[in-house]
Amino acid sequence: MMKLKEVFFEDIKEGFEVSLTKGPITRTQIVQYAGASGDFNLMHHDERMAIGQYGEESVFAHGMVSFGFVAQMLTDNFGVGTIRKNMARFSWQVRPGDILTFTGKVVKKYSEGKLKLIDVETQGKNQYDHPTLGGKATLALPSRK
Amino acid sequence: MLNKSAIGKESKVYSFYVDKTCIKNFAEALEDYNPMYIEDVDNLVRINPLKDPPQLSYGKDYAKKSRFGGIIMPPTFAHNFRAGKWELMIKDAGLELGKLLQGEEHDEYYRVVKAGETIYYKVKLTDIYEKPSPRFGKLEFMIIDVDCWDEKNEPVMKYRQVFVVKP
Repeated sequence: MMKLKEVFFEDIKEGFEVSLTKGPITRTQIVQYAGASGDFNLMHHDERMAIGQYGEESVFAHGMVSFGFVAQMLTDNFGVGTIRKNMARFSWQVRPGDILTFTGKVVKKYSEGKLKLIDVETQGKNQYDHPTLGGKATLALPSRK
Repeated sequence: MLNKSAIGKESKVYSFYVDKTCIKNFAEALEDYNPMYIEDVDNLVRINPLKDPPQLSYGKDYAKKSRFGGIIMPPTFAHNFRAGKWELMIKDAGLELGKLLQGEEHDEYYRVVKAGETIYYKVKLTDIYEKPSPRFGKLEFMIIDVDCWDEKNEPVMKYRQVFVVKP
């Protein structure tokens, strides 16, 4: 029987790295995400509008899809309910066929009152090694003490 | 050119019932098969026809037996708390929807939201500004802030989105 990872503040060192690979992104996935998030902006699922009207090469995934992947990388590796803050800048579009590699690095480990926190710098790249996302998250981890 | 008189405008208060099935669909779309989001990971119904989900076995009632007592809302699920946003951006600020591009997302979570809760939220158009662009001369930006709270009027999370307007 599988169990989700349980990670304690004392187990994590600064410099600790995590990663997650997602994709290939499909149009079907973009449509599933549009339905699941309520974001039916045409540029994500309507190819004729995206190309003909919006000047795009193709439909492209919502930035929030990548943001969801970053959140998954963090919850997979540090546990659910740990993320306090998460931010990301979407620097390049994610198109169908793209394979995304997300990485996270613990850059700071600290306490704030009773909270035991880590800051994680996050990055996303596509299969051409081109950065698609850059961000930072703050997570509160349980402590053994 | 966006209409700067829209700065500071707020939507009315909307509500969203955070439903287990919505959470499952959301997690499936992201291929995030976390048993805290999906009750029956062994038996997913809506499968991507091009890819089968991995065969995982967390056992029955994993989420119920966890410290949260049931299915929880994935943090980025708040993308669903979006009613009133386009009205502010398109009707009030004069945005052409086809020119919208999301540049940034900033989320802050105060506690975990569980399936079955109703979340209330309000959208605010916080700012409209320009920045010089080496490529386009100048680019317009829009900041949207959404505050979310629960049935007891306690804040659960907030998020900020920075949008770029394509020239």
